[in-house]
Amino acid sequence: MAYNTNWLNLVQEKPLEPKLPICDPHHHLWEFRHERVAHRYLLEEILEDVQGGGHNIVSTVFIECGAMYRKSGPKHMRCVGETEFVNGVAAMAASGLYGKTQVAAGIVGTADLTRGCRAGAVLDAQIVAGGGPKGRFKGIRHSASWDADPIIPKGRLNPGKGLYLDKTFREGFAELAPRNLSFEGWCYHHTIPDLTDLAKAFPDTTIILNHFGGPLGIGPYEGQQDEIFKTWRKDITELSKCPNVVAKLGGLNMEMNGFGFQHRPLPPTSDELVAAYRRYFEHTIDKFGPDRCMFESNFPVDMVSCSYTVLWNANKKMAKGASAKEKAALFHDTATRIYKL
Amino acid sequence: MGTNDEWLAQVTEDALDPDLPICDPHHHLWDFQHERIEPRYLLDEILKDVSSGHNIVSTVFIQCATMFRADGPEAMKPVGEVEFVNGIAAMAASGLYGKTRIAAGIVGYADMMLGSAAGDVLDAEIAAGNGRFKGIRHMATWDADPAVPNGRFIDRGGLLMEPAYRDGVRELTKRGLTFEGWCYHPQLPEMIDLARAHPDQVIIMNHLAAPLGLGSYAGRREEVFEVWKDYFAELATCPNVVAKLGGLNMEYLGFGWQHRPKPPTSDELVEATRPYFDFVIEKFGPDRCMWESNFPVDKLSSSYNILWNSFKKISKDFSAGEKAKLFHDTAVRVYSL
Repeated sequence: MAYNTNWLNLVQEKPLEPKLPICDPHHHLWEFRHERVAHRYLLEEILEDVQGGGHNIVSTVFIECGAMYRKSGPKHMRCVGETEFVNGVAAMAASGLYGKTQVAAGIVGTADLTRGCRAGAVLDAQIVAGGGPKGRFKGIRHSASWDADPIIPKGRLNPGKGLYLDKTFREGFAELAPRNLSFEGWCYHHTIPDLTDLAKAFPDTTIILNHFGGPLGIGPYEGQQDEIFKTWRKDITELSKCPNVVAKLGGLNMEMNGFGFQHRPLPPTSDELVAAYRRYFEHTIDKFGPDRCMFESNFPVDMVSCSYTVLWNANKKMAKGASAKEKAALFHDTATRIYKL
Repeated sequence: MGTNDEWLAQVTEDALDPDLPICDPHHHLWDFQHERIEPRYLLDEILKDVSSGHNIVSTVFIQCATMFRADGPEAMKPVGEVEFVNGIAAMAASGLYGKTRIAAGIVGYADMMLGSAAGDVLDAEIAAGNGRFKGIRHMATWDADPAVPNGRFIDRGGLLMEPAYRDGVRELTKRGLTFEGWCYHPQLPEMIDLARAHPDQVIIMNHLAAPLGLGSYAGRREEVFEVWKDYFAELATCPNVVAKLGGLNMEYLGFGWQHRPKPPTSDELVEATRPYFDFVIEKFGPDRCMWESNFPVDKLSSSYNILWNSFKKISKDFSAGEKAKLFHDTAVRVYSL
């Protein structure tokens, strides 16, 4: 039970197109995250969303969130505990005892790439923990999310400015391609050009843009969404020219995006979400094309503003004009291709 | 809430010697096992037990055919169980849930009847356990009396004598993995034969081979005890065999605690079970003995807290060094934790 369950229940919708197969390529699992809207989000909790929510979620991809790191052992290897934990949850789902959804069919962990080429040993340990080269471990995220303003949350390793341009970081990054691992690009809107630079420097590594590159809307960015959108639009267009980059569509419900739905007396309907977010989705789909786009839930983080059912309804409304084939790509096929599920 | 928590709550005791470090080398984790007293026994549930008063520092998970893969080659389906348990172990190793290293060791299942082909399954399980996988159990529990329940997948006696099964055991030996011996007392000669034929294989005898007290064995406790003693004395002569001390609360023994209005006190458990435990410790010695909870199966008859109190009462007269072995060190050594 999340802190805001009662509030979320104030707006309920029936799932649209409930049979359309969905791979949700971006969610977390954790416990004791008291700063989050759901402090426990383990198998039972995600099942309430992916199976209880009415949409046809056939598989999911877990994205790293600093969960279950080992308490002891070498510091740089502690993140391997997260992969072991999630691989266990995935095994429970794969038993079929909990319904058809293959929860965490793919696992994205982390490794500190600022260790340079020494990051390779961590990646190898992650691959083993995920069940070997043909197993569930697909890649890593090393967040560059950073802003000079203290109100904007910083990535877990407090990356500072310019992580994706850093030479040592890139030495670590070079360890991904030989292992056939993907990289989640996660930064704020002003850092998208850094990600583009990184993508051009590593054309053989698949990079998955998270959450539209995090357009900010609080603190110094409050009330400037239209202006920021103009720059963002250009930067996304540039990024889309890198054929090794694909985009996740979602993750705008967070506090830092500044839409503020969570502060209203009533949560948003899917129509309201579409109205607020449409231009980000449309531009990204326009530039990347459905074969390089995948809708994502970013749950339970995005649960702060809406329920799982309403979120996927908004995604389906966004995709309304798409052909059946394009919809299949946006909701499922791009994700399963990119993550080799 | 387990289905008998209310019944168990009628008898409570303070934990004896609560600082003594314990490795519980035998428990299960599962979900949806509705035929058991606890249909669900996952991290939340075992944490309640290991935090109920005794100082449980680590545990070893023993296979129970849970979370097998729904898809893929039949032989590899049990690898899912190891993956699942390794995930729980990783959660415990995060330190977020207290100090107990749940499933620091993992004993899975591989079909020994695959013979030498079992090696591939074992290799996959070693990989899935990421350092925690220690060995396997392939039950042989079978009895001609239909009143005695046979082990899961067991449709005949004599499994331990079959050449294919023994070829499977050889794959364990090659990899330095442990073998859990689990059969009923009338099958002990087969276990002894196996132990002698595989002197380099570590065999961990489970649950004292459950001296039976059901069906045709009911009302013959003294007679069974004598037979069992002869067999166990013989088994103890095999240096590659170690013994787990516990599992006597299951229905097979016929103590019937679960049918009483109130659960047993630790004193009552001691009185009923002491002769078996005393005999095994005498024959095997503390270096080759380890107390085990067999939870949640043994929860049928007593709480975790009272069960360990009964073990501590039985061990009362041992030296500090011997106690350390019985409650912790032997398990840690045998399973290389």
